[in-house]
Amino acid sequence: MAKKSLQRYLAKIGKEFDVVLTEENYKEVILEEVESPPALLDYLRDYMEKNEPTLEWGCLMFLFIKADEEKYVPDIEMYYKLLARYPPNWFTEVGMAELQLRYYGNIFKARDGFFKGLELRPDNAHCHYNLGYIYHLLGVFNKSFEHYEKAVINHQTANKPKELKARSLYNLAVIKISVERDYEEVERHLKEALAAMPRYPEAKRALKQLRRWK
Amino acid sequence: MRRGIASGDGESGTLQHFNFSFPTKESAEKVGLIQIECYLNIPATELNNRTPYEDVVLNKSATNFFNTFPVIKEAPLFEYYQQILSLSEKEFAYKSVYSKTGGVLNIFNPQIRESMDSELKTLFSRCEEEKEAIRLWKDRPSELWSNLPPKLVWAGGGKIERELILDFSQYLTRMVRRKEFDTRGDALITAIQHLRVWQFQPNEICSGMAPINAIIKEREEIYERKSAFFKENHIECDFV
Repeated sequence: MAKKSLQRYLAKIGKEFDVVLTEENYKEVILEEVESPPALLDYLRDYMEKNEPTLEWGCLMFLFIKADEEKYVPDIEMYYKLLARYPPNWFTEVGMAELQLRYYGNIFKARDGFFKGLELRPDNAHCHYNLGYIYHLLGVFNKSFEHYEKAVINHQTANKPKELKARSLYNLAVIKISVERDYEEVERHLKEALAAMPRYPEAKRALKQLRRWK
Repeated sequence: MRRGIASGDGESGTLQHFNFSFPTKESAEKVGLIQIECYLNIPATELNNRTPYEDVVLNKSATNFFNTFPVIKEAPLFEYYQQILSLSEKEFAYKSVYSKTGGVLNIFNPQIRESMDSELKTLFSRCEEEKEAIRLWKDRPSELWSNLPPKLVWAGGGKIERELILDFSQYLTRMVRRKEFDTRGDALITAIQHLRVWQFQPNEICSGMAPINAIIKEREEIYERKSAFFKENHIECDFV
Protein backbone atom coordinates (compact mmCIF):
# COMPACT_ATOMS: atom_id res chain seq x y z
CA MET A 1 0.00 0.00 0.00
CA ALA A 2 2.74 2.43 1.10
CA LYS A 3 4.78 1.40 -1.91
CA LYS A 4 1.86 2.16 -4.23
CA SER A 5 1.46 5.66 -2.87
CA LEU A 6 5.21 6.23 -3.11
CA GLN A 7 5.10 5.25 -6.78
CA ARG A 8 2.22 7.64 -7.30
CA TYR A 9 4.09 10.54 -5.68
CA LEU A 10 7.24 9.83 -7.64
CA ALA A 11 5.27 9.70 -10.88
CA LYS A 12 3.48 12.98 -10.07
CA ILE A 13 6.77 14.73 -9.28
CA GLY A 14 8.34 13.41 -12.47
CA LYS A 15 5.39 14.38 -14.65
CA GLU A 16 4.50 17.76 -13.19
CA PHE A 17 7.91 19.07 -12.16
CA ASP A 18 10.30 17.06 -14.31
CA VAL A 19 12.26 15.95 -11.24
CA VAL A 20 13.42 12.42 -10.45
CA LEU A 21 13.56 11.84 -6.71
CA THR A 22 15.63 8.93 -5.42
CA GLU A 23 16.80 7.66 -2.04
CA GLU A 24 20.17 9.19 -2.86
CA ASN A 25 19.15 12.68 -3.97
CA TYR A 26 15.92 13.63 -2.16
CA LYS A 27 17.60 15.41 0.77
CA GLU A 28 19.65 17.60 -1.56
CA VAL A 29 16.59 18.32 -3.74
CA ILE A 30 14.56 19.43 -0.70
CA LEU A 31 17.34 21.79 0.39
CA GLU A 32 17.55 23.22 -3.13
CA GLU A 33 13.79 23.71 -3.31
CA VAL A 34 13.59 25.54 0.00
CA GLU A 35 16.11 28.12 -1.23
CA SER A 36 16.13 29.85 2.11
CA PRO A 37 18.55 31.50 4.49
CA PRO A 38 21.42 29.39 5.85
CA ALA A 39 19.71 29.08 9.22
CA LEU A 40 16.69 27.28 7.73
CA LEU A 41 18.86 25.05 5.55
CA ASP A 42 20.88 24.10 8.63
CA TYR A 43 17.65 23.37 10.46
CA LEU A 44 16.37 21.10 7.68
CA ARG A 45 19.73 19.32 7.37
CA ASP A 46 19.65 18.75 11.10
CA TYR A 47 16.01 17.58 10.96
CA MET A 48 16.81 15.02 8.24
CA GLU A 49 19.86 13.78 10.09
CA LYS A 50 18.03 13.34 13.38
CA ASN A 51 14.79 11.90 12.07
CA GLU A 52 16.11 9.85 9.16
CA PRO A 53 13.01 10.38 7.05
CA THR A 54 12.14 8.17 4.09
CA LEU A 55 11.89 8.80 0.36
CA GLU A 56 8.14 9.04 0.86
CA TRP A 57 8.71 11.93 3.29
CA GLY A 58 10.95 13.49 0.64
CA CYS A 59 8.14 13.24 -1.94
CA LEU A 60 5.51 14.69 0.41
CA MET A 61 7.81 17.48 1.50
CA PHE A 62 8.64 18.29 -2.13
CA LEU A 63 4.93 18.40 -3.02
CA PHE A 64 4.17 20.53 0.08
CA ILE A 65 6.86 23.04 -0.92
CA LYS A 66 5.44 23.24 -4.46
CA ALA A 67 1.85 23.65 -3.21
CA ASP A 68 3.06 26.35 -0.82
CA GLU A 69 4.82 28.19 -3.67
CA GLU A 70 1.66 28.07 -5.77
CA LYS A 71 -0.50 28.96 -2.75
CA TYR A 72 -2.83 26.11 -3.68
CA VAL A 73 -4.74 25.61 -0.45
CA PRO A 74 -6.28 22.12 -0.93
CA ASP A 75 -2.85 20.62 -1.72
CA ILE A 76 -1.11 22.47 1.13
CA GLU A 77 -3.65 21.02 3.56
CA MET A 78 -3.53 17.55 2.03
CA TYR A 79 0.27 17.24 2.11
CA TYR A 80 0.40 18.75 5.61
CA LYS A 81 -1.97 16.03 6.81
CA LEU A 82 0.01 13.32 5.05
CA LEU A 83 3.22 14.62 6.65
CA ALA A 84 1.64 14.41 10.11
CA ARG A 85 2.88 10.83 10.50
CA TYR A 86 6.46 12.18 10.55
CA PRO A 87 7.97 14.31 13.34
CA PRO A 88 6.78 17.91 12.95
CA ASN A 89 9.06 20.27 11.09
CA TRP A 90 9.24 24.07 11.16
CA PHE A 91 8.65 24.61 7.46
CA THR A 92 5.28 22.84 7.31
CA GLU A 93 4.05 24.12 10.69
CA VAL A 94 4.77 27.73 9.76
CA GLY A 95 3.31 27.21 6.26
CA MET A 96 0.06 26.03 7.84
CA ALA A 97 0.06 28.87 10.38
CA GLU A 98 0.35 31.35 7.51
CA LEU A 99 -2.54 29.67 5.75
CA GLN A 100 -4.68 29.85 8.90
CA LEU A 101 -3.93 33.54 9.19
CA ARG A 102 -4.04 34.88 5.63
CA TYR A 103 -6.52 32.50 4.01
CA TYR A 104 -8.95 31.60 6.77
CA GLY A 105 -8.42 34.47 9.23
CA ASN A 106 -8.23 31.94 12.09
CA ILE A 107 -6.08 34.11 14.30
CA PHE A 108 -5.97 31.84 17.33
CA LYS A 109 -5.04 28.78 15.25
CA ALA A 110 -2.37 30.82 13.49
CA ARG A 111 -1.01 31.98 16.86
CA ASP A 112 -0.73 28.36 18.01
CA GLY A 113 1.01 27.41 14.76
CA PHE A 114 3.67 30.11 15.09
CA PHE A 115 4.25 29.12 18.71
CA LYS A 116 4.79 25.56 17.50
CA GLY A 117 7.24 27.04 15.01
CA LEU A 118 9.11 28.69 17.88
CA GLU A 119 9.29 25.38 19.75
CA LEU A 120 10.95 23.85 16.69
CA ARG A 121 13.26 26.80 16.00
CA PRO A 122 13.59 28.89 19.16
CA ASP A 123 14.29 32.60 18.57
CA ASN A 124 13.19 32.41 14.95
CA ALA A 125 12.57 35.96 13.73
CA HIS A 126 9.89 35.00 11.20
CA CYS A 127 7.74 33.44 13.95
CA HIS A 128 8.31 36.35 16.30
CA TYR A 129 7.38 38.82 13.56
CA ASN A 130 4.14 36.98 12.82
CA LEU A 131 3.31 36.68 16.52
CA GLY A 132 3.87 40.43 16.82
CA TYR A 133 1.40 40.92 14.00
CA ILE A 134 -1.13 38.43 15.46
CA TYR A 135 -1.03 40.01 18.92
CA HIS A 136 -1.56 43.39 17.30
CA LEU A 137 -4.69 42.00 15.62
CA LEU A 138 -5.75 40.50 18.95
CA GLY A 139 -5.41 43.90 20.59
CA VAL A 140 -2.76 42.63 23.01
CA PHE A 141 -0.17 45.33 22.41
CA ASN A 142 2.28 44.47 25.18
CA LYS A 143 2.76 40.98 23.72
CA SER A 144 2.85 42.35 20.19
CA PHE A 145 5.64 44.71 21.25
CA GLU A 146 7.60 41.88 22.90
CA HIS A 147 7.52 39.72 19.78
CA TYR A 148 8.46 42.55 17.39
CA GLU A 149 11.40 43.35 19.66
CA LYS A 150 12.50 39.72 19.54
CA ALA A 151 12.12 39.76 15.74
CA VAL A 152 14.50 42.74 15.61
CA ILE A 153 17.03 41.03 17.88
CA ASN A 154 16.94 37.77 15.89
CA HIS A 155 16.44 39.26 12.41
CA GLN A 156 19.47 37.42 11.00
CA THR A 157 17.52 34.14 11.06
CA ALA A 158 14.94 35.53 8.61
CA ASN A 159 14.69 35.07 4.88
CA LYS A 160 15.14 38.81 4.21
CA PRO A 161 16.83 39.96 7.43
CA LYS A 162 16.99 43.71 6.74
CA GLU A 163 13.42 43.92 5.51
CA LEU A 164 12.10 41.98 8.50
CA LYS A 165 14.09 44.17 10.88
CA ALA A 166 12.79 47.36 9.25
CA ARG A 167 9.18 46.19 9.24
CA SER A 168 9.37 45.09 12.86
CA LEU A 169 10.80 48.49 13.86
CA TYR A 170 8.08 50.28 11.91
CA ASN A 171 5.42 48.21 13.70
CA LEU A 172 7.06 48.98 17.05
CA ALA A 173 6.74 52.66 16.15
CA VAL A 174 3.05 52.16 15.31
CA ILE A 175 2.42 50.63 18.75
CA LYS A 176 4.39 53.37 20.49
CA ILE A 177 2.37 56.07 18.77
CA SER A 178 -1.06 54.47 19.17
CA VAL A 179 -0.77 53.15 22.70
CA GLU A 180 1.76 55.32 24.47
CA ARG A 181 2.08 58.47 22.32
CA ASP A 182 5.81 58.30 22.97
CA TYR A 183 7.04 60.45 20.07
CA GLU A 184 10.75 60.23 20.97
CA GLU A 185 10.65 56.43 20.81
CA VAL A 186 8.58 56.52 17.62
CA GLU A 187 11.22 58.68 15.94
CA ARG A 188 14.02 56.39 17.10
CA HIS A 189 12.26 53.28 15.77
CA LEU A 190 11.46 54.91 12.43
CA LYS A 191 15.05 56.10 11.97
CA GLU A 192 16.35 52.61 12.74
CA ALA A 193 13.83 51.13 10.31
CA LEU A 194 15.07 53.45 7.57
CA ALA A 195 18.68 52.61 8.38
CA ALA A 196 17.88 48.92 7.86
CA MET A 197 15.84 49.51 4.70
CA PRO A 198 16.36 53.00 3.21
CA ARG A 199 13.68 52.42 0.56
CA TYR A 200 10.70 52.17 2.90
CA PRO A 201 8.05 54.70 1.83
CA GLU A 202 5.70 54.11 4.81
CA ALA A 203 8.49 54.76 7.31
CA LYS A 204 9.61 57.89 5.41
CA ARG A 205 6.07 59.22 5.35
CA ALA A 206 5.54 58.48 9.03
CA LEU A 207 8.77 60.22 10.01
CA LYS A 208 7.83 63.29 7.95
CA GLN A 209 4.40 63.42 9.57
CA LEU A 210 5.90 62.97 13.02
CA ARG A 211 8.21 65.97 12.51
CA ARG A 212 5.22 68.09 11.58
CA TRP A 213 3.47 67.10 14.82
CA LYS A 214 6.46 67.74 17.08
CA MET B 1 -17.57 41.98 2.86
CA ARG B 2 -21.15 41.08 3.70
CA ARG B 3 -23.79 43.69 3.89
CA GLY B 4 -26.15 43.42 6.78
CA ILE B 5 -28.90 45.22 8.55
CA ALA B 6 -28.89 45.63 12.29
CA SER B 7 -31.45 47.25 14.47
CA GLY B 8 -31.35 48.69 17.92
CA ASP B 9 -33.80 50.36 20.21
CA GLY B 10 -33.39 54.10 20.02
CA GLU B 11 -33.91 56.46 22.89
CA SER B 12 -37.56 56.91 21.87
CA GLY B 13 -38.12 53.21 21.65
CA THR B 14 -38.34 53.20 17.89
CA LEU B 15 -36.08 51.01 15.85
CA GLN B 16 -33.22 52.45 13.91
CA HIS B 17 -31.95 50.64 10.83
CA PHE B 18 -28.71 51.12 9.00
CA ASN B 19 -26.69 49.34 6.36
CA PHE B 20 -23.14 48.29 6.92
CA SER B 21 -20.43 46.05 5.54
CA PHE B 22 -18.81 43.40 7.66
CA PRO B 23 -16.32 40.72 6.68
CA THR B 24 -18.30 37.70 7.87
CA LYS B 25 -21.88 36.71 8.61
CA GLU B 26 -20.87 35.99 12.23
CA SER B 27 -19.50 39.47 12.83
CA ALA B 28 -22.53 41.12 11.17
CA GLU B 29 -24.80 39.15 13.53
CA LYS B 30 -22.63 40.03 16.49
CA VAL B 31 -23.40 43.74 16.01
CA GLY B 32 -27.01 43.05 17.03
CA LEU B 33 -25.98 40.88 19.96
CA ILE B 34 -23.57 43.52 21.26
CA GLN B 35 -26.25 46.20 21.02
CA ILE B 36 -28.61 44.05 23.07
CA GLU B 37 -25.92 43.15 25.62
CA CYS B 38 -25.26 46.87 26.10
CA TYR B 39 -28.94 47.82 26.20
CA LEU B 40 -29.55 45.37 29.04
CA ASN B 41 -27.11 47.30 31.22
CA ILE B 42 -28.78 50.69 30.80
CA PRO B 43 -31.07 51.70 33.69
CA ALA B 44 -34.66 52.41 32.62
CA THR B 45 -37.15 54.67 34.42
CA GLU B 46 -39.91 52.21 33.46
CA LEU B 47 -38.07 49.60 35.56
CA ASN B 48 -37.66 51.87 38.58
CA ASN B 49 -34.17 52.78 37.42
CA ARG B 50 -33.12 49.16 37.38
CA THR B 51 -31.35 47.83 34.32
CA PRO B 52 -33.21 45.21 32.25
CA TYR B 53 -30.53 42.74 33.38
CA GLU B 54 -31.25 43.44 37.06
CA ASP B 55 -34.99 43.24 36.44
CA VAL B 56 -34.67 39.83 34.81
CA VAL B 57 -32.39 38.51 37.58
CA LEU B 58 -34.73 39.76 40.34
CA ASN B 59 -37.86 38.40 38.65
CA LYS B 60 -36.09 35.25 37.50
CA SER B 61 -37.84 35.78 34.19
CA ALA B 62 -37.86 38.23 31.26
CA THR B 63 -41.67 38.48 31.20
CA ASN B 64 -41.88 41.74 33.14
CA PHE B 65 -39.20 43.31 30.94
CA PHE B 66 -40.91 42.26 27.69
CA ASN B 67 -44.28 43.45 29.00
CA THR B 68 -42.79 46.82 29.93
CA PHE B 69 -41.24 47.20 26.47
CA PRO B 70 -43.68 45.41 24.15
CA VAL B 71 -42.04 47.00 21.10
CA ILE B 72 -39.14 44.58 21.58
CA LYS B 73 -41.42 41.65 20.88
CA GLU B 74 -41.89 43.07 17.38
CA ALA B 75 -38.18 43.73 16.84
CA PRO B 76 -36.27 41.66 14.28
CA LEU B 77 -33.79 40.84 17.02
CA PHE B 78 -36.42 39.57 19.48
CA GLU B 79 -35.07 36.03 19.38
CA TYR B 80 -31.62 37.35 20.33
CA TYR B 81 -33.19 39.11 23.35
CA GLN B 82 -34.81 35.84 24.38
CA GLN B 83 -31.55 34.00 23.92
CA ILE B 84 -29.51 36.49 25.99
CA LEU B 85 -32.17 36.88 28.67
CA SER B 86 -32.70 33.20 29.32
CA LEU B 87 -30.56 33.66 32.43
CA SER B 88 -30.10 30.59 34.57
CA GLU B 89 -27.74 29.62 37.38
CA LYS B 90 -25.08 29.29 34.69
CA GLU B 91 -25.06 33.08 34.33
CA PHE B 92 -23.44 33.33 37.76
CA ALA B 93 -20.74 30.75 37.07
CA TYR B 94 -17.38 31.57 35.51
CA LYS B 95 -18.30 29.60 32.37
CA SER B 96 -20.92 32.20 31.45
CA VAL B 97 -18.15 34.47 30.16
CA TYR B 98 -17.77 32.21 27.12
CA SER B 99 -21.34 33.03 26.07
CA LYS B 100 -20.69 36.79 26.06
CA THR B 101 -19.83 38.78 22.95
CA GLY B 102 -16.83 40.64 24.39
CA GLY B 103 -18.23 43.81 22.83
CA VAL B 104 -16.97 45.95 19.99
CA LEU B 105 -13.29 45.25 20.73
CA ASN B 106 -13.92 41.55 20.11
CA ILE B 107 -16.43 41.76 17.31
CA PHE B 108 -14.28 39.73 14.92
CA ASN B 109 -13.24 37.08 17.41
CA PRO B 110 -14.54 33.57 16.92
CA GLN B 111 -16.73 31.95 19.57
CA ILE B 112 -14.42 31.61 22.58
CA ARG B 113 -14.56 28.23 24.33
CA GLU B 114 -13.20 27.23 27.71
CA SER B 115 -10.82 24.82 25.99
CA MET B 116 -9.06 27.86 24.43
CA ASP B 117 -8.47 29.48 27.82
CA SER B 118 -4.92 28.45 28.64
CA GLU B 119 -4.67 31.02 31.45
CA LEU B 120 -7.56 29.38 33.30
CA LYS B 121 -6.15 25.91 32.65
CA THR B 122 -2.80 26.97 34.13
CA LEU B 123 -4.46 28.49 37.19
CA PHE B 124 -6.62 25.40 37.75
CA SER B 125 -3.49 23.26 37.74
CA ARG B 126 -1.55 25.63 40.03
CA CYS B 127 -4.19 26.48 42.64
CA GLU B 128 -5.36 23.98 45.18
CA GLU B 129 -8.89 25.35 45.17
CA GLU B 130 -10.94 26.03 42.07
CA LYS B 131 -12.40 29.18 43.67
CA GLU B 132 -8.95 30.64 44.15
CA ALA B 133 -8.07 29.99 40.50
CA ILE B 134 -11.25 31.73 39.34
CA ARG B 135 -10.65 34.67 41.69
CA LEU B 136 -7.23 35.26 40.13
CA TRP B 137 -8.36 34.55 36.55
CA LYS B 138 -11.30 36.96 36.49
CA ASP B 139 -9.04 39.98 37.01
CA ARG B 140 -6.28 39.09 34.57
CA PRO B 141 -6.22 40.69 31.11
CA SER B 142 -6.91 37.96 28.58
CA GLU B 143 -5.70 37.66 25.02
CA LEU B 144 -8.97 35.88 24.19
CA TRP B 145 -10.78 39.22 24.57
CA SER B 146 -8.40 41.99 23.45
CA ASN B 147 -6.76 42.14 26.86
CA LEU B 148 -10.03 42.71 28.73
CA PRO B 149 -10.17 40.71 31.97
CA PRO B 150 -12.96 38.09 32.11
CA LYS B 151 -14.89 40.07 34.72
CA LEU B 152 -15.28 42.99 32.29
CA VAL B 153 -16.32 40.66 29.47
CA TRP B 154 -18.95 39.15 31.76
CA ALA B 155 -20.14 42.62 32.88
CA GLY B 156 -20.78 43.78 29.32
CA GLY B 157 -20.93 47.24 27.82
CA GLY B 158 -23.42 50.06 28.25
CA LYS B 159 -24.77 53.22 26.69
CA ILE B 160 -21.44 54.47 25.31
CA GLU B 161 -20.36 51.15 23.84
CA ARG B 162 -23.77 50.79 22.25
CA GLU B 163 -23.19 54.03 20.39
CA LEU B 164 -19.61 53.15 19.63
CA ILE B 165 -20.57 49.91 17.89
CA LEU B 166 -22.69 51.90 15.45
CA ASP B 167 -19.87 54.40 15.00
CA PHE B 168 -17.39 51.63 14.27
CA SER B 169 -19.82 49.91 11.87
CA GLN B 170 -20.14 53.13 9.89
CA TYR B 171 -16.38 53.77 10.05
CA LEU B 172 -15.59 50.29 8.74
CA THR B 173 -18.19 50.57 6.01
CA ARG B 174 -16.57 53.82 4.84
CA MET B 175 -13.08 52.32 4.95
CA VAL B 176 -13.87 49.20 2.94
CA ARG B 177 -16.31 50.73 0.46
CA ARG B 178 -15.83 49.17 -2.99
CA LYS B 179 -12.93 47.05 -1.78
CA GLU B 180 -12.78 43.43 -2.86
CA PHE B 181 -11.11 40.64 -0.96
CA ASP B 182 -9.70 37.39 -2.28
CA THR B 183 -10.06 35.39 0.89
CA ARG B 184 -12.00 35.35 4.14
CA GLY B 185 -8.69 35.90 5.95
CA ASP B 186 -7.93 38.98 3.87
CA ALA B 187 -11.35 40.51 4.62
CA LEU B 188 -11.17 39.70 8.33
CA ILE B 189 -7.64 40.97 8.82
CA THR B 190 -8.42 44.22 7.01
CA ALA B 191 -11.46 44.77 9.23
CA ILE B 192 -9.48 44.01 12.41
CA GLN B 193 -6.73 46.40 11.38
CA HIS B 194 -9.33 49.15 10.98
CA LEU B 195 -10.75 48.25 14.41
CA ARG B 196 -7.33 48.56 16.05
CA VAL B 197 -6.80 52.00 14.47
CA TRP B 198 -10.33 53.20 15.34
CA GLN B 199 -10.09 52.14 18.99
CA PHE B 200 -7.32 54.69 19.64
CA GLN B 201 -8.78 57.65 17.76
CA PRO B 202 -10.35 60.29 19.99
CA ASN B 203 -14.10 60.04 19.56
CA GLU B 204 -16.85 62.59 20.19
CA ILE B 205 -19.19 59.88 21.44
CA CYS B 206 -16.97 59.45 24.48
CA SER B 207 -16.15 63.15 24.95
CA GLY B 208 -12.91 62.99 23.02
CA MET B 209 -11.58 59.90 24.77
CA ALA B 210 -10.18 57.00 22.77
CA PRO B 211 -12.90 54.30 22.45
CA ILE B 212 -10.67 51.70 24.13
CA ASN B 213 -10.40 53.81 27.29
CA ALA B 214 -14.07 54.75 27.30
CA ILE B 215 -15.12 51.12 26.85
CA ILE B 216 -12.95 49.93 29.74
CA LYS B 217 -14.14 52.76 31.99
CA GLU B 218 -17.79 52.05 31.26
CA ARG B 219 -17.40 48.30 31.73
CA GLU B 220 -15.67 48.88 35.06
CA GLU B 221 -18.61 50.99 36.19
CA ILE B 222 -21.06 48.33 35.05
CA TYR B 223 -19.03 45.68 36.83
CA GLU B 224 -19.12 47.70 40.05
CA ARG B 225 -22.87 48.17 39.73
CA LYS B 226 -23.44 44.46 39.09
CA SER B 227 -21.20 43.51 42.01
CA ALA B 228 -23.14 45.79 44.36
CA PHE B 229 -26.44 44.43 43.03
CA PHE B 230 -25.38 40.81 43.57
CA LYS B 231 -24.13 41.52 47.09
CA GLU B 232 -27.28 43.43 47.98
CA ASN B 233 -29.46 40.56 46.82
CA HIS B 234 -27.24 37.86 48.32
CA ILE B 235 -26.69 36.19 44.97
CA GLU B 236 -23.56 34.11 44.71
CA CYS B 237 -21.52 34.74 41.60
CA ASP B 238 -18.03 33.66 40.51
CA PHE B 239 -17.31 37.16 39.21
CA VAL B 240 -18.11 39.08 42.38
